[in-house]
Amino acid sequence: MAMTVLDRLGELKASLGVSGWELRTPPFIPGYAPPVTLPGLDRLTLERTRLHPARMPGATTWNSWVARTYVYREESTRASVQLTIVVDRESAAGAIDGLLLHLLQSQRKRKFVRSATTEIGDVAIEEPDANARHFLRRNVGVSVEDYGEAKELVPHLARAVDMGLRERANVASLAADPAKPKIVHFTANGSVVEVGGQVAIRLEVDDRHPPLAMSFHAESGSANMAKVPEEQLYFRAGPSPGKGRVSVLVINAVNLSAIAAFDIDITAVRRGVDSERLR
Amino acid sequence: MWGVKDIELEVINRRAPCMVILTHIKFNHDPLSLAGDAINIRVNGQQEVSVPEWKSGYFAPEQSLAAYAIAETAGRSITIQCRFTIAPKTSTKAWVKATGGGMLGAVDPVEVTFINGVSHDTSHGGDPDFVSITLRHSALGVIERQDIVWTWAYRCSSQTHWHPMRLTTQHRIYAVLREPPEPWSQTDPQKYPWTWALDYAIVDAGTRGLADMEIAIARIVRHVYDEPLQYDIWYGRSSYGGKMFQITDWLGGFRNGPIVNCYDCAGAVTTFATVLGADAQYNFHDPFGYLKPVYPIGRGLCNNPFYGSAAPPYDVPLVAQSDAGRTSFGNHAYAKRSSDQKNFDACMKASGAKCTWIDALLALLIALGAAWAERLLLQRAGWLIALAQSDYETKVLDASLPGAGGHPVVEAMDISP
Repeated sequence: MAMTVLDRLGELKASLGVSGWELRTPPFIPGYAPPVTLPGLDRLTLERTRLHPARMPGATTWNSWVARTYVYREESTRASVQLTIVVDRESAAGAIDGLLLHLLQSQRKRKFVRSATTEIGDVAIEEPDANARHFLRRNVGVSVEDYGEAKELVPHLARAVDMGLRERANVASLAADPAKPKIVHFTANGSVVEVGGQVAIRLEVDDRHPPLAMSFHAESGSANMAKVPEEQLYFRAGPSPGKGRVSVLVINAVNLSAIAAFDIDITAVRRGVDSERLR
Repeated sequence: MWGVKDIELEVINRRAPCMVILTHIKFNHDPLSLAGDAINIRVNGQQEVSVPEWKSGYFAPEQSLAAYAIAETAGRSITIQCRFTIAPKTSTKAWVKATGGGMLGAVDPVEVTFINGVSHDTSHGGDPDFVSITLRHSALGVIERQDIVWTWAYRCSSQTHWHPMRLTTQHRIYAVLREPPEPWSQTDPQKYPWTWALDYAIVDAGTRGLADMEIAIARIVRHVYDEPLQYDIWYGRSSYGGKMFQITDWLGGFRNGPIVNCYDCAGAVTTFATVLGADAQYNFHDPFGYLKPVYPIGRGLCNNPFYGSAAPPYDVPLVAQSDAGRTSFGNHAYAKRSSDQKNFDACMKASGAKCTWIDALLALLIALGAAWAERLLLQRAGWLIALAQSDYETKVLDASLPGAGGHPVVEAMDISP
């Protein structure tokens, strides 16, 4: 029988007994990113980070979680380890899905079992056949995987990350937490635009943890960035009248995210409107 | 400093009773159609291609981009729309033409009506300032990216000789086999085909001049496989999103690093084949099984793909074929054509046949223009292209050991800009 990734996610959740995990209630952790130098791991160099896709294929809504992989290397030994942090902006539900999807997104046959111990995380997932550690602490999912010669580094890094998570002040709600990016304005400069017309987008974000990564998704049109005369976001209406929509996802350095959206009416074009724009 | 020719032109222009200037050109003047004009395209995830595609002041071809679908425009008249101004404003008629034009051809003389100094044409449903001009010499037949130049001239209605506009317009024109299917769209402006993707698929992958869809996909497979990437021998994990293909990171110099898996390769092949109009689809095959000795992307001969994270004695790429203790593909992804269900896989290469006189003959036939010979030659060299499912599995899957048994399922593809 052919399986899809979502089929396998359902199977894995059932086998791990996810429905019984008590992670969905507060307190929550207001985001996390590994510090530049991890305690006891100062020989590790951060080689690159990689943000995972923020939507599922074909979906028009953003995932509630952010997944980012940090690739470390120890130059003297060429040991390499990958740390993936999954942070849900609302609760723990998305972090569970995000972490499990991350674990499933590999071609190697892997076996995952719920750990009986709580040595790391609120819930730990064991992988008997691999030098890896996976766990969830509240709304943050963590996966540490050996990418070569990282035998001792993997448990060490996992413990260091869990220590960092435990040291972060917990909050009762993530909704208005100051660590989260706050989208102050996300509006179009007008509520109506003609077919093929453009309208400026105003985006203003308050954030304490730069840099911000931003993604846009538009329906019945496109979100664009003008290069000249200065960087300016704008919406270009598509070729058919109707309802347009633009949504934005912003992600800060501690992997907390915020979303916003606006709707805009797209009306039929008036004859000669091109020329008015050209003149 | 002006040359003699310039001075002559100036004298001729001064003698002309009118002066016509080209101000704008639209190639994609009807975004709801791709049969008589250009298709909807974007530059990348952030930049659109706005219409009119050419305006006064544009000098470089990459400032004026347009793409055409060969199948949809076949046997149809392609039109562009141009806006002209004339001085003095009292002039009401003039003729325009352009030489050059590459694959779009020269612009035959066309009489333009002017009202208040601006061209006027109500023969089409769009902006009447724009004149519809039929391109009678266009020659779209193969995948192409071509920088074209039109040298424009005009003739005042009362005169018999042509005056140069002293204007050449330059454009970068793409031709794809047909309307690019999913993950691209002609109705969702955020998913219009990217010229960045076209540049990769046409120029980088070397599909220029091809009319054969199968060979075009094969060349993309070859190009993706030859990129400076390596298979993830630890977990077989995706770095470029797979079916949610992180195209900007891929095109931006592999910003997510050099380690990839089959999802990434299938995502890349599907994305860059479909932008050319090929009917490639992302297929997920779970469970897959043990491999015959193959060459995973960027790696040596291997039948134990996860030797990077396997314990001894399975920490080497090649072990005894009968050894069921070696690692296997839990699942796999590759591209498949919807029309004939043939497989295309850039994640690995099978062991090739020994080079013989057959290959020399095939190379000769390719040189003589036989596209099918290229397919055979590539298949003989081990490329996993244009293979029926059973042939594909015969080449890569070791069915003598347990684990196989799944079959491919088409999965929706999307791009993550």
